[in-house]
Amino acid sequence: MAAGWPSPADDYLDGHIDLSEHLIPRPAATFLVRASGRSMQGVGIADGDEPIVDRSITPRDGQIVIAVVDGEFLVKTLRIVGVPRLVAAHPDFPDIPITGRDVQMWGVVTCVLHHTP
Amino acid sequence: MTASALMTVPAGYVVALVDVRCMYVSCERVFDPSLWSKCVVVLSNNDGCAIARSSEAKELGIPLGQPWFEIRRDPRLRHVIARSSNYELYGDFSARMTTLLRENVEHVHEYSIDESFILLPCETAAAQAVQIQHTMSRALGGFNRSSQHLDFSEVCDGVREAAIRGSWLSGSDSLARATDGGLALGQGQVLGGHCCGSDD
Repeated sequence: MAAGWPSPADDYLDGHIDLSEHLIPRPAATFLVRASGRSMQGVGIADGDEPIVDRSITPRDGQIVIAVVDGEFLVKTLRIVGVPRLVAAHPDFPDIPITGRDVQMWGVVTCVLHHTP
Repeated sequence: MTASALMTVPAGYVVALVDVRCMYVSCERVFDPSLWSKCVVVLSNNDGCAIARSSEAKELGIPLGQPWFEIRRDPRLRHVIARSSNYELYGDFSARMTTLLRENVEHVHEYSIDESFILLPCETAAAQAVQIQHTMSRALGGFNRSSQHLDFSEVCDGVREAAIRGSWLSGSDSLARATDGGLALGQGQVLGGHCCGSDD
C-alpha cells in the first residue's frame, strides 16, 4: 500500500522543456554552425557564437543568412530590396553586392546560441 | 532481406528510386565549397582506395575501388583531391534524407545509405519526383553547377510511355535484381531520378 500524499502537481506535469523542440522545428534540415569574427556584432552574433541554420527556409529580405561567397562561408544579413547585397553589422565591413558574382544561399539563421563567460 | 520487407506495388503506383549522386563526395561538398566542381575522391578506411568519386574524377577514368597509392603517384591525377571517409557525416545525412522522404511520401524503403525506394501515385509521380528533388536539394545541399543534371521531364515522359506500352524501362531489370527480392515490381513501372547530388 502506498504511503504519504500524492503530489498535487501530478495532474499538471507537462514534461521538461525540450530545447530541440523549442529551437529546431525542422531537424532534418537544420545545422548548427560556429561563427567567427566580429562582422555581425551589431545584431548580437559574437565571435564563437553558434547560429542555428535552417536550410529549408527560403531567405527573405532582412533575414540573417549563411551564404557562400566566392567559395567562402559568410554570416550576413540579406538585403534584396534595392541593390541585392549582403550586409554586415559592423562599420568596418562593407556591403557585399550579390549580383554578378558567385553567391549561393546556404541557409537561414533562425537562432543564435551565445554562451556567456 | 526478410519476408516482411517484401512489398507488392499496389495498382496505380509506381516505384521510384531516390539516389544521391556520388553521395560521400556530395556530403563533403556541403561544408567545403573548395571541393565544388573539382576532381574529388573519398577514400575507404585507412585511406585505402577510392570508394566515391565526383563526376569530374569519374571522367578522368578513376575506377571505383582504385587504390589511393596508385592515384597519388599518377602524374595525370595530381589535381585529384582526396578526403578520408567520414561515416558519421554520411550516416547523419542519410538519416536526414530518410526523414525528409517520409515527410513527403508514405511508403519509403531504405535500401542503402543513399538509396531509397518510394511509392508514388502514377498520376502525380513526375511532379512529386521533381518536388522531392527540390526539397532535398534545398534542405541538404544540391548546388547544380554543371549542365549534366538529369532532366526529370525526360525520365517522367519515358515512364508514361513505358506504362502505356506495358514495357520495361531500360535498366529496370537490373533495378529488380538490385533489390534482392526486397521489392516486387509487379507493375513493371519504374521511375528513376536523382537528387541531392552537389555539382551535376
